[in-house]
Amino acid sequence: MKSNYLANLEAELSFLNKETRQQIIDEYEVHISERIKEGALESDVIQSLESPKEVAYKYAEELDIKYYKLKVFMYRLLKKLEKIFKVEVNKIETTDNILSLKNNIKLIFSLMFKVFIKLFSFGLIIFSIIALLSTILAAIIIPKVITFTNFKFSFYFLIYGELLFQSIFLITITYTLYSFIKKGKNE
Amino acid sequence: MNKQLKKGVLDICVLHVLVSRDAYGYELLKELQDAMDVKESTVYPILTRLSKENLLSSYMQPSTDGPTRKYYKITDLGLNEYKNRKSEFLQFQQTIIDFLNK
Repeated sequence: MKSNYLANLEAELSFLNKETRQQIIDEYEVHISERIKEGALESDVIQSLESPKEVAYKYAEELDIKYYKLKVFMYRLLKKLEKIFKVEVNKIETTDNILSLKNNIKLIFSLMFKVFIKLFSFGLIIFSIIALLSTILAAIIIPKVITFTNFKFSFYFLIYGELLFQSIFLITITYTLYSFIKKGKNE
Repeated sequence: MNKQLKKGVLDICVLHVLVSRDAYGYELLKELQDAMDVKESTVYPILTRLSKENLLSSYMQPSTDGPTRKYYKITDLGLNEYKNRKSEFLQFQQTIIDFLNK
């Protein structure tokens, strides 16, 4: 409970440098332990404190820090990416400012590349599904709309041919990209 | 009490406590809370800011039961600032009282 609160607070305070952040965490740790010493229950003490978000807001306001919400957002985003791509964002965290690109340029580039590949392959899968659905839909609807029977056969032919071609083509590309990402992940 | 009114005055109160003796965060909070209604999330950020402004310095002192405490000590700059702000505030307060009683 206590460690959970402090961890949350640290994440919310990610717009501050590590030293200041640690000092604030220490301050709250002493606060909680003093309250417990006075006879309060740990859960009650945590309840009585303001939420980590509110505490972080007060610090940002008091220390006159601009764009702190963006910085917290960046931090949370990096943490999420860390989970998805298993990249060590902790490397970013140890620097003074998590937004300093200069120190982390290599890491951020590799991260961006991986995100791009992931989104690209995801887009391809979605696109192939949409293409397949639309061709199936076209195969059903178009013969009813166009009454020229002479054209009927050629439309059927065109649509089914396209459907076959598209599915083979897109599945091959998607599979290739997917295996490429998998290989990159295992490295 | 009104938030805006409290803001500038709390600085003086925090400095006032530390003029007589060094104190750690929780101790200082208690002393303020005995006299007025303030939250820990108001006082602790003030301590951080005053430290950054070099009005306070700090040192660590281990506690016999619990985590190490961080004691705050007022600096010469802080003492100077305290005197200035206090007299400024008292003067201001007198002006307002006179005005409201008019």
